[in-house]
Amino acid sequence: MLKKFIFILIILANSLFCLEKNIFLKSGIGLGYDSNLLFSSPYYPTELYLFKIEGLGKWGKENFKFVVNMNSDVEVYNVYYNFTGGVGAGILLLPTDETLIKLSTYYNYTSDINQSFSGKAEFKQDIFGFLTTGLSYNFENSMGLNGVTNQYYTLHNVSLSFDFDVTEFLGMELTFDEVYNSYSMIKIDGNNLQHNTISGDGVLVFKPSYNYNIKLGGGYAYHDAFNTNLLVFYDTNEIYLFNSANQYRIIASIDYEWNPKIKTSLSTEFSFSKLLYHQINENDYKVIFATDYFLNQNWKAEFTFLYNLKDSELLKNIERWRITVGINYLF
Amino acid sequence: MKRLINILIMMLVFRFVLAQQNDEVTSILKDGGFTLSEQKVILSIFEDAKEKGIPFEDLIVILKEQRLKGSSYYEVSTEILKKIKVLSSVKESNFPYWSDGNVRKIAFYLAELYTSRQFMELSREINDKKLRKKDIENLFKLILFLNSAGINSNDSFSLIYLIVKNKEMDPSAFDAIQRIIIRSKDLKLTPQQIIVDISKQLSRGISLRKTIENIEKKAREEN
Repeated sequence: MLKKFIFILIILANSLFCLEKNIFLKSGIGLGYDSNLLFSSPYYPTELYLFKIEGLGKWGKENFKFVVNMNSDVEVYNVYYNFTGGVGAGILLLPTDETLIKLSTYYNYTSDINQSFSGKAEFKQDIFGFLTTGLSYNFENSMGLNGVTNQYYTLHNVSLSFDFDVTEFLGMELTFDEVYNSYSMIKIDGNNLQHNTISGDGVLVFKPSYNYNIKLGGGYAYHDAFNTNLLVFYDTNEIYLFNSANQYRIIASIDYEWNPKIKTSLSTEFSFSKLLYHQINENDYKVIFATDYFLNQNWKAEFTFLYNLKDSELLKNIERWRITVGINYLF
Repeated sequence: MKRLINILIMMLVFRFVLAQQNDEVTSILKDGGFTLSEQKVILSIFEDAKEKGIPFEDLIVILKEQRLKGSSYYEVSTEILKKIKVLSSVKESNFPYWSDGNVRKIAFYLAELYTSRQFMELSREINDKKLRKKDIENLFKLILFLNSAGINSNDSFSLIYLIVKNKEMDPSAFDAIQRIIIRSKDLKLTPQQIIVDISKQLSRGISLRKTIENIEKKAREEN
């Protein structure tokens, strides 16, 4: 039996390698500083030493591909370190130039936090040459590794998207999401905590030239926890994840290409949440500035600056800034 | 009478320039250590080229290069004949701005890079679309970039031909093409795939701007 199995595996592997293949690898090192690593109080400031390896392989024909991917990130802090790694596999179908079907699975391990298994089915279709519609279903099962109860959950997400050109210089992106989350270790009246979110986002994309684009948009989300209890977790402190709440978001970003080698982007995201059954507001302001510099096809330097401020009526006001510089080699 | 004198003066100047060019050829040939009969053969090749209307200075450049290399008489004459063949095909193609030395160099480079049929088609399209001198120079920079990125001449031709055919002459579009090629590994696509994909979309009449947007979007979706 085992011999047969190995034989079939060899045949499969052989046929895979006979197909046209493309393998991309990216490895990088970086340095940085984080003023509040856990984004909580008390602050934990630390230097950062970053190591990254990313890989993606595609085998197949033009309209049918097997995709295998892996990620591994190590962040070393001044007293401990964190490792996040994952492997995934999927199938990509492109039956026509206008259609994309993608089925994929992924296993992720984050040291001391959780391990999760996820699966995704995605369908995209271009219509009339200016409208792209997308429908996807995403499933994720997470298990905690450090005894924190909110790391045990099962999540289902259905997403519908429309992406279209109003004119050559103006595009619009609409996304509608339904996320259902069940926390198996958080019990409310003897039952698992259920959490359902319905959200809609709209973004206008101004693209006046090849060199830059500006995005402006907003969104609304309705979070329903099916109970009136107040639940607060200081380690994942987005309060709307475990309680019923209204949430409004504003996003704005600009991407600017200085020349074919240098790209800069500045993006901001503001979120305003208000709990339904408690007089508690929580506002979050985030700004990210990033610059990529491509020395050539093989070397890429990255600079990122992040600033995040949370203004909460329940938790203390907290802020965080993080700066990283990295250099990557692309194989 | 005055007009006659003017014409005479012009003829004299013209004669003088020609003689000078012939002298230059002779002196280069002498320096190269060619025998008198060899010099005569090469000179007659030059005379022949002159009759075909091929610019002297382009041939002298080749002659100087060959002398620096220390090439033999056979190598020199073969190289010059080869150059004459390419130059006369360039001339036949009615490549625009023929009198401009820089554009002529570009035309010569293209005639060597692409097959003669491809070169003729491209020249015809460049003429049809009445490209400006600056457009041709920008196009040339893109072609050099594609070469340096390892794109083969057939794929390079398809892209360049369609760009001219669709008259997509915005230099920032050329920058955008360079941009996705330089970032190809980060987008997890091969440069060859990108070029074939751009050509495919251009041939369907999709604008270059939309094409580049599509490719950047597709790269995000596939990975």
